[in-house]
Amino acid sequence: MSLFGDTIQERRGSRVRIFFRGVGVEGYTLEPVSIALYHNGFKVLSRSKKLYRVRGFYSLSPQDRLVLTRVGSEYVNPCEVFCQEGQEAHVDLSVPFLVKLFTPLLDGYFQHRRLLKNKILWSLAADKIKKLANHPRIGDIEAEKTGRILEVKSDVVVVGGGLSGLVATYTTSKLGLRVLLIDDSPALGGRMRYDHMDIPGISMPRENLLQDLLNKVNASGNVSILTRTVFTGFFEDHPTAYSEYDKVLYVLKAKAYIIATGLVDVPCIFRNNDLPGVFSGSTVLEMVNYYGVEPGRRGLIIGLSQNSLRIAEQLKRLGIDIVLVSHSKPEEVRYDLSKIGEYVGSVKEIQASGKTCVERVNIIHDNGRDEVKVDFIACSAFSTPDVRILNQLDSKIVFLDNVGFIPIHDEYMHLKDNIFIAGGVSGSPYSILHLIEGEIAALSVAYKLGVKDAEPLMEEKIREYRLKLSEMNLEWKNKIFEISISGLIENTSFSYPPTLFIEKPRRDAFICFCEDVTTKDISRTVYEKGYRTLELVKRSLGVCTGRCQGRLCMVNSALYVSYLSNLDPNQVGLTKARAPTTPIPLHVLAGGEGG
Amino acid sequence: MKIAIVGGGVSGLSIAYNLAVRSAGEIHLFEKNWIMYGSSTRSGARFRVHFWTEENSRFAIESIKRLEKLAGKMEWNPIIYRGGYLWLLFNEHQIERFKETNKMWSKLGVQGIFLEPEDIRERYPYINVDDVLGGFYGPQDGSLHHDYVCFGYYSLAKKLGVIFHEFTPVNEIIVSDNKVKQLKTMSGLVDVDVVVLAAGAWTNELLEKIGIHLPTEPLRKEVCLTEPYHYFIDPLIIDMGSGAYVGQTLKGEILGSIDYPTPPGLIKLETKLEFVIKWARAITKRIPILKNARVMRTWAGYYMMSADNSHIMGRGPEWPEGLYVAYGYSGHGFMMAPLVGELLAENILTGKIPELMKPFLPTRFRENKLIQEKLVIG
Ligand SMILES: Cc1cc2nc3c(=O)[nH]c(=O)nc-3n(C[C@H](O)[C@H](O)[C@H](O)COP(=O)(O)OP(=O)(O)OC[C@H]3O[C@@H](n4cnc5c(N)ncnc54)[C@H](O)[C@@H]3O)c2cc1C
Repeated sequence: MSLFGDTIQERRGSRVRIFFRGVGVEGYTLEPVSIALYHNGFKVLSRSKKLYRVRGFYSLSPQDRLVLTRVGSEYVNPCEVFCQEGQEAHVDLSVPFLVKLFTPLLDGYFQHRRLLKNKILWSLAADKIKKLANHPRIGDIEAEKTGRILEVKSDVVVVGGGLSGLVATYTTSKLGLRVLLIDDSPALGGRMRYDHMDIPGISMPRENLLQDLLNKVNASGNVSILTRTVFTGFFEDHPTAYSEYDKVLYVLKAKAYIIATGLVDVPCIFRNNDLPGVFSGSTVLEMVNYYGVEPGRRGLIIGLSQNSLRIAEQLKRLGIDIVLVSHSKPEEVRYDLSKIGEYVGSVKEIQASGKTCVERVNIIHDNGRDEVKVDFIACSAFSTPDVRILNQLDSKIVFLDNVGFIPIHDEYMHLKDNIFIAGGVSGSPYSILHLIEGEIAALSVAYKLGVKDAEPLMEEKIREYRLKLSEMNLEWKNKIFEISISGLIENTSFSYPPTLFIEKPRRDAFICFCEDVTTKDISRTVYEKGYRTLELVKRSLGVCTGRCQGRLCMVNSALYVSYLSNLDPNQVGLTKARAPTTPIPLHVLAGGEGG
Repeated sequence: MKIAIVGGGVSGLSIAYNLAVRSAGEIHLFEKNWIMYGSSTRSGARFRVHFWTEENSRFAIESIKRLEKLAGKMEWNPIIYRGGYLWLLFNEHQIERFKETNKMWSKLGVQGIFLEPEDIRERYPYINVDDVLGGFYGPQDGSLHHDYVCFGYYSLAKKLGVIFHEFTPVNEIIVSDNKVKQLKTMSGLVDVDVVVLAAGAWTNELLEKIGIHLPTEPLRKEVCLTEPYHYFIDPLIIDMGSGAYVGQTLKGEILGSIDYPTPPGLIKLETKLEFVIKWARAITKRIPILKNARVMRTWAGYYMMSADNSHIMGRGPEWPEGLYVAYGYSGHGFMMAPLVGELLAENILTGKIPELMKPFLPTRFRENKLIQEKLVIG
């Protein structure tokens, strides 16, 4: 396992020289290629599949796969491949002539334009179209490798090594159960790995807390750890996890699972929100605090969440200028923002512009219009549990206004069968709750697995939990627990998508980046076709069917469809993300046999 | 006349459209979920005219023609593409069988092309032909976009006035005096004159309640889909050795499946890792450069298998008056549904049984006039 290095230098590893489009640049052995390239001013890492828009990375998660860049002879996610001496990365920036010619036609509906309905014209066009999309060439891919399949047995698998996952791991192991802890990042810690501010409600400083948890987990003889390993979901016969780094597919055999995968920062919807330099809020922190690479000198932070404020404050301390924007009216803001940066409120529309990366932003608000020069944008208006793994299990996911899509669980953190959840993925907004939830999940698992003495400890934690929830006025959590018993979902009113920053549907405001689906496309599906469920919108436009499998677009599409059609998001619904939630190479699945 | 169609898959949608376009009366379509929830959006989206039996081959040829004709009218492009089917053959017996059947196909004007291993290597250099004895290529076969075909029918039918009841399961057909009278749905009883059951794998649930048993059973089938790659595989490749098939969608994803034993019945629509591994092994052996392709998604649907692997349409003479079925497509319903809709609509409205429909009547099981279809893929 990779330990949390003391200094950024240690975490970055040793210096190497890599090449990008033939130009030599500096990188570090423990630094993802994407970070090294960004640091050296190379922000365009690929072009999008249909519209050939320039794209950079949105987050560092291996689960997003928004860009694939050629490194060596393989197309890889540059966020999960680390720099090596002499490595060559390449992006083909050319745009086919036909795409240039027909760009105005290339929207979500290009497939069924009248021109293409004529049988002969269509068959001529199809021969061209099939080769036009900007996909990696499989012929360029090395076919030599063979991955492996390993079976791992454990009493409990904990997915996610953030606060709640670490606590759950430690608590379970202390009760004598064997635990396998899986995390997709290069190191454990989750958000604590890069968010350097202390945690409200926890007296111990963040650094000590993390070190303490890591020490406990490492000292326990009952814990095995897999970092850089993505939990890839539940097949009918087995849950699986995949490590791109080791090219190993793990077949998991445990008696219980605790899902503690935290929250995903949902992309904000604004004009040109796909430009390189638009990041998830957490990614910006990870860049500066974990890798020591600044996202830019002056940034726009969208949203006024706890997340936004923490990001803003930490960037400000590093001397990065911040402009904060949100829907809230300036007079309604409860925080003193003057020390952090400029605030623009009542925002109705944001338009980013720039040739190959974010250079300027136009902000339209109630009192007029502002133009600011920024070189990066952080999306932190809204975070959501990554519901894909949970809805694979057919567990109920319910939308609550001003909260989001929440998986239904009881106060024992039980989801269904032998699956438990804890932390951000259960929707809980505060770290102090994540800590208790980690303990509760662990104790519930222990109780379920028949560990003596687990029950009183569990009941005691539940009492503490109830108290905390009422202290924090988190009424909605109780609602979730009630639904878990009654199964009844009330109609929800729906205010406004928290990520939405456009006044009307736009062809340059994207919802799905993998499949190039814009707000304009979705509005036509809703208004012209009358499709109002996410299942039908998915099938007509391809949202949630791209490489990220809906991780970044599912919630946005559902909320946007609700907003346009004035429907309860529970009626629009989500779609089922099927295993594997992150793509696995065939040579790994073949496990060395076959080819 | 008030006609109710149960099932919003390609079968029900095609029937609804064909009835509406013939001004059949008041047409209602009931779908228990969202439109096309069933197998219709879980298919491999391919069509072929090559079946072992003349009945099926003829039917498929006409059906694809219908769809192509309709394509010009649809709001959606069905993305019909003739990339061909390539059967890889591993023994003399297989080759003999194709040679024999090719005589029938030639008669129907859809003869295929026999390929030696070297020809295969030349045409498709990515295929490993080391253990292949030969190949049969059907240039008339190809792919379509299953979602768009369904959407196409859906919007045409809507425009023609078909009334859609989505999220409305039909729980029972109420029969009296040997006539269909009403449908029981969650929103109450609905009076009907004609009921067409096109509920795919779920059809027997309704039929058996009124005492009709046809030799059919659902069989879960799983599919793997990779991330999209630059297009390079034109045909659907069927490996008659391993039972695997693989093709590439025009969107670039590589799609395939393999024979995998699953107990029959309406078992949960989930996929097994073991199945994915089996496919991965077979397919990386056949097309080694697929090794680094990544499986992005898997899903499952039902093949509604009939005793002779061919669809069932129409009605039995002793059935309650007004009751019709269109199901049991046995894994190749998408390509048959366009013609099924047309012929069944004619049958319902005129009482005449069109020539092409005759072999597919439900009475064939009792009369022991089975269609000897064995060429099922996947
Ligand atoms: C993996 C796989 C690959 C396939 N590949 C191909 C292929 O390449 N080419 C091809 O031609 N075919 C293929 N098929 C077969 C094809 O998908 C089916 O034959 C076809 O979709 C059947 O359509 P349908 O309308 O009869 O059934 P379905 O699409 O299953 O529709 C039935 C509908 O009825 C609804 N329903 C059920 N009960 C009720 C009720 N009581 N009340 C209201 N509604 C109800 C269901 O919700 C469903 O939407 C494949 C199938 C699978 C599973």
